[in-house]
Amino acid sequence: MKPVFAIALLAIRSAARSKVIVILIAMLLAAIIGLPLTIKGDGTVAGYVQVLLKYTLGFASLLLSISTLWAGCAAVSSEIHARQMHLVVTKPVHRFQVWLGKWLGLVLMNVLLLSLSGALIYGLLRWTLRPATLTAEESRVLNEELLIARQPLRPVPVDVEEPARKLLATRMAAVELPENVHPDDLLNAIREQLLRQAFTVPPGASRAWTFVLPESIRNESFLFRFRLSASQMGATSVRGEWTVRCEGVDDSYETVMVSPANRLQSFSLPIEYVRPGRVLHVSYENLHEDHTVIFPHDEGLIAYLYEGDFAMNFIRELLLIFAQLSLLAAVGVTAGTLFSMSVAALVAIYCLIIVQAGAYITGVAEQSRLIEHTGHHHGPVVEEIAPAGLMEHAVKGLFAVMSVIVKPLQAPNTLEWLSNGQLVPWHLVGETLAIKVIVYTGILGLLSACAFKKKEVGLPQ
Amino acid sequence: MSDEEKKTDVAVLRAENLTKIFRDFWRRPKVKAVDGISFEIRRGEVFGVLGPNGSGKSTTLKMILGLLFPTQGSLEVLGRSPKDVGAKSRIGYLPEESYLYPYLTAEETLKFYGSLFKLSDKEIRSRTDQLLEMIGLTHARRRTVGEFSKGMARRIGLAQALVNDPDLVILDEPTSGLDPLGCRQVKDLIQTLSDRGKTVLLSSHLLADVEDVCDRIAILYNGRIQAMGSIRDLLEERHRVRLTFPELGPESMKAVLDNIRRIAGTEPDLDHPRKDLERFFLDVVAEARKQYEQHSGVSGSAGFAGFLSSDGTREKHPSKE
Ligand SMILES: Nc1ncnc2c1ncn2[C@@H]1O[C@H](COP(=O)(O)OP(=O)(O)OP(=O)(O)O)[C@@H](O)[C@H]1O
Ligand SMILES: [Mg+2]
Repeated sequence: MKPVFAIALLAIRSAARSKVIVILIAMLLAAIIGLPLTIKGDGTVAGYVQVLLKYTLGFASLLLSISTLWAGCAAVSSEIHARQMHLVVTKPVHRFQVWLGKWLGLVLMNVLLLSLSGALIYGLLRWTLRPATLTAEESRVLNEELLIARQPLRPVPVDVEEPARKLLATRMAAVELPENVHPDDLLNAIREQLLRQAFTVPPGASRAWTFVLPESIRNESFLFRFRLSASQMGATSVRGEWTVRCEGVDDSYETVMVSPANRLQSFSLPIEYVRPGRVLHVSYENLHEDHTVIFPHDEGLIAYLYEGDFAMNFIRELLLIFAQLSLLAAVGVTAGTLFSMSVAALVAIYCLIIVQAGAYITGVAEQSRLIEHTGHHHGPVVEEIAPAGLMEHAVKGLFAVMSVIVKPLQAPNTLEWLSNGQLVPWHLVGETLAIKVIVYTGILGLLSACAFKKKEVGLPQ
Repeated sequence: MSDEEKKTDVAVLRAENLTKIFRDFWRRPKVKAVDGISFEIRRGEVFGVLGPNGSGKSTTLKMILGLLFPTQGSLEVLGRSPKDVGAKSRIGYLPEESYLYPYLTAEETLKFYGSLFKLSDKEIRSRTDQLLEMIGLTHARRRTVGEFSKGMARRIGLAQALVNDPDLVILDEPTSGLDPLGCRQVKDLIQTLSDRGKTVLLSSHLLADVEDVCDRIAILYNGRIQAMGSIRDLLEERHRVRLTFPELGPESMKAVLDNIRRIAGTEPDLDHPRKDLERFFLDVVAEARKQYEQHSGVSGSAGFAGFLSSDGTREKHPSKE
């Protein structure tokens, strides 16, 4: 391992002495201090937290990503170009060790810069939002809703499958289906219609949700977040009453709220109203005389259970960013090992775009597999137009392969979670570190070690 | 050579029908830089590869080091393939130009290469000190090599080639960029290494250097070996003799010459022997050094690094991890 550490140290020295690190730190500082000053949120603490976390941490991670990729591409290729590599590969050093040393150097630098940015952002957040400057309500929102780690708990989904099939049967019995309408498409339409109905609350009516509580619950209050829209144009807010009742608890919790439409709202439920492992019934009664209320069915009402404090959540998010940076370092060093600097940079950017477009790629791959299996797909019919030639099979194959590679790298937007007070779970951090830092980095390392071995370092690049 | 006994018949390096064709991007042949050369270097030998610019010297050395792969032919270095990483711990290499990291100091440079050989920290420190002393750059140890003059950088390059106390030293134009003092020193160093049973392979087009230190040479031209053999065999004019003696008076001189004319039957050449310029330069500099003890370039060095000298107490090779 000694040569690996020597090469890693060399990479750090190179960055430090070429002032690259100094400039990066200056840019990070400028962004972290400057961005919150220039970008004004909506004036609320929630808005401020969003700006500080999403934009500054997002910017820091973007800046580090780009510089890591670039430095990775340069690491080996520039030394082959300037022939310093001649003196390294003629020593008893395996090519894999060279790769690992360069990668490790970049990773260590990223650890340094990321911890620095993280500490700065955290400090800034705590300092600007110190209790003395806040109203009681702002403090409550901050501590209860934002600077906290809560695990979302979704209600038991509304089952429309049975009624939808029944309705389909009656309709099909009543009228002949036109040639170009597939029964599946009709079923889908019926499902959507039923769902919409289930989430519509006319004046004076109410709607209920049920939650199955986990077996263990921390002794902290629950948070409910909901969003609604009103049926009338121009309706700005609606009055309604929330009632929460848990099995095994005699009392129910009631609160009347005037809620603006289309804005995320919340209310919290004291912990004495819930029992672990039981079913929680929540209902909403529309107290308005003539507005109908509609809840979106994916984020109509979600319960948030306390899981931990903000600091650890913040650290977990930093670890996820770290995993991403380590992978980018691996991609960069690999590209720089295989190609000259300019080609490497292009290839690395290309890889990045493919990963970014991962959702699209997996989508295409899924769909083409569906078409093959069922001979049917939803939406307009296109496959009859283009003859399924060799080319199409090749493209499909390519997408299938890319999707296999890219799929494990798909990640949820945890930065959004962090700034919403939502838990970034440890298991996600563990999985991401394992996939990005161990599996993918390992594969890239082996790949470039093999290719590097076959490379004539003595040739000019 | 006084120590002929140290040279053995063990081949340290064997090249057979070695060929290198450089190709372009489309793999079409572009240049035949080395064209089917075969040679063998034995343990303890100082072997020189001579030839004009572009004759394939560096290409040959790079193939031996595994930096380039032969197009044809076979190569065996210390009993192994040049691609074998294991054998590299016994090889030292000075490339044709000093490809050093400009942002490292002299000391850090040597420590870096030392750690690539997995030497212990203590060993690295002591060898770094000795080597810096040997190349006369102890006073510049904390300056970055990027600001070194060409010759100073070259000296660092030489030091890094010796940091592992190699058995086979490969030097590509070792004296290029060095002042006559440095040249003399390098030549003495090569001699010392050879005395200790080390094998040295060097390339050069400075004939005087080669003549001074090499046991055997190969002359390359256009990628082919045009002549190969020991220096003595190649250069000695066995049918002519030179005599040197102190200046005599005109009478005695005439008597000597007459005798030679009579016995040999030919007219002898007569001139004063001259100091060669190298000798003269070294004397002048030695004189000047006494007056300027302090200056920014290369200072006088104190002989050879202890771990390279011939006291027989050489360390064992660092074991592989
Ligand atoms: N990477 C390369 N691509 C194409 N041709 C090359 C390459 N490297 C060397 N050559 C050619 O191979 C031939 C031999 O080059 P080489 O560097 O071995 O010469 P040399 O004997 O070391 O010369 P010098 O005394 O100038 O150092 C030259 O014609 C050179 O142009
Ligand atoms: Mg050369």
